Amino acid sequence: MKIVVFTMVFFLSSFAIDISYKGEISVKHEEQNFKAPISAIYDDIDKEQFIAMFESKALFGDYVAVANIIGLEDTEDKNKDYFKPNELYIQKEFENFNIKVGRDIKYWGALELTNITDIYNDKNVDLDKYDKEKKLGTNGLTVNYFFDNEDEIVTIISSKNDNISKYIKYSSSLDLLDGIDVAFAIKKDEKIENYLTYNTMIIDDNIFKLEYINTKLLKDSLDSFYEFGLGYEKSFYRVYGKSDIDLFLEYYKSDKIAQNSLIFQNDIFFGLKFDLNDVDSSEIIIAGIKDIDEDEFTYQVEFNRRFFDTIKTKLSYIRNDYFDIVTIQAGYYF
Amino acid sequence: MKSLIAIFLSAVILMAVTNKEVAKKSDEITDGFVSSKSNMTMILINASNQKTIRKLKSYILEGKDGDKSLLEFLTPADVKGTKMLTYEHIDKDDDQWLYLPALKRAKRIASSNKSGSFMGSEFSYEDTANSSWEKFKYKDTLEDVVLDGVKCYKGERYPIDKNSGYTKQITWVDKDSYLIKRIDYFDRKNELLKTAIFSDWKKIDGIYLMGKIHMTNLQNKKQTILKWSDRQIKVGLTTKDFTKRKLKR
Repeated sequence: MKIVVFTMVFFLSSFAIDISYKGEISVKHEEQNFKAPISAIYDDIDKEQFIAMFESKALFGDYVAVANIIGLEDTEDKNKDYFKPNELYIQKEFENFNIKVGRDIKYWGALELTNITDIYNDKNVDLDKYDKEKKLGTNGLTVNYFFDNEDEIVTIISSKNDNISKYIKYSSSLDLLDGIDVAFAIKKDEKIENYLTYNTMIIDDNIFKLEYINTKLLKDSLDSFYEFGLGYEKSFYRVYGKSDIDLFLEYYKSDKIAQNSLIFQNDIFFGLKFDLNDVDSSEIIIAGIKDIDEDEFTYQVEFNRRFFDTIKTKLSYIRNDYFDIVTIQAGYYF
Repeated sequence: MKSLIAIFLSAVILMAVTNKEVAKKSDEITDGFVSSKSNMTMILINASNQKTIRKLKSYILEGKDGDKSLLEFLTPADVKGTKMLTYEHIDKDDDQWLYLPALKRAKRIASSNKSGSFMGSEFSYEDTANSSWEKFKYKDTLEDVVLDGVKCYKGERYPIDKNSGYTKQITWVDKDSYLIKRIDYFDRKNELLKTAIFSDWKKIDGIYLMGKIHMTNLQNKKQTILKWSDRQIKVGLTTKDFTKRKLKR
């Protein structure tokens, strides 16, 4: 199947009237220092990662062909090294619908810290386990149907780890208050059923967000659990010179503890993004996550800046009771 | 004699054009393009005269209740493919979505960001939006002035939108062509913040299209030049070209 899609992408690209490409070559240095008592179990990590990404998009009439290839070399764990297509698909546009076949990435969600409803793709933890942008492509067949009022129904059949999943999602933008985006979806496979919704509501300059997902385990004695997240976002403009400040407040709740997972079980997140609005897109992010049940606090400080218009840099520091992580990354973009 | 003077004065009053009429006429001569697509180049100049260039693609569809627009960022490379879809409304806040290609995310954003900087430039979001004459209140009186050898109407207008970053704008409009030549922008402290010079007007199919805006921030001494090229009008775009479906393509 992969070979067929690759051949078609290559074939269409050779006839394309509009080809665009972009890419990134990055070096990342990461130091993770564990604290007692777990420092007795784990060794500190001090490693480099070399990341290369290349994406080409070819337009040929009503066809779109996309190939996104990622290469990773990890100095600490050679098992993480890979070079493979993360997205490789062809999409055909029709009047009121489109069909996509191949490996792709989708985004489902509304919140900023994490998206509990974003279940189509797995996270690419080898690349960055804390960055929700880093996801693994999923093989699937997608049909998007668009109504005249821009409402959309998406049906998907996907294959992940020899497991066939079926999805159906309805989404709409409502002309209520200052705008509301809503989405409802169901996913089913042999082992799991998911019912989810994610929504964004604007009132004046306030943005409210909700994500909810119920997971029903079909082959497990523990039959179901829920997760939800509430979010609030507000921006303050020209606070100092051209600088803006974005405020994010989010709360996550789940009874997923029954599944031996403590992630986002009863957590509060806050974030402040200082956007300097300069030509180098300099920004400072200060964020914290409070695990209410465990009384644990994790905070992060991050600084991003562009140099010479093509080099993007990131300096990040994460700290909690168990470890601290320093990350320095520089990437050349083209 | 008295009646002659009265008739003459009445005629003068009837012939005198108001600030609002000038603004309306200035707006009308740039309307009627139905839809347009163009390439945009933004040159950002700092106080030391160093230049940074940004490139964008712009698609616009005229509408009775406000225009629809799609902006695609082509540079810098790390934001290539980022798109902004805007549905303008005369009587309420615009609807706006930002498409982030790295996430494949079409994020609905609050359009109240009128005064925020656009791409780190000296343009704010409201400077780049369609400034319909209906979005302002006007001082009745006009001055006859000469700007760079061109006879102009000089008038004051006040943004209606409570989220506007400006308290007042002073406009210079060419008396012959009704083309806008210059705008002075006053910040919320009522101090002169920026001056925009409009030039390189082109007339296509009877419609005037702006070719260049040179914005100078008088407070931080930075400048931004915005240029349009390969501008085409009546290109057959429809509402279907301004949807979230198109954002993701």
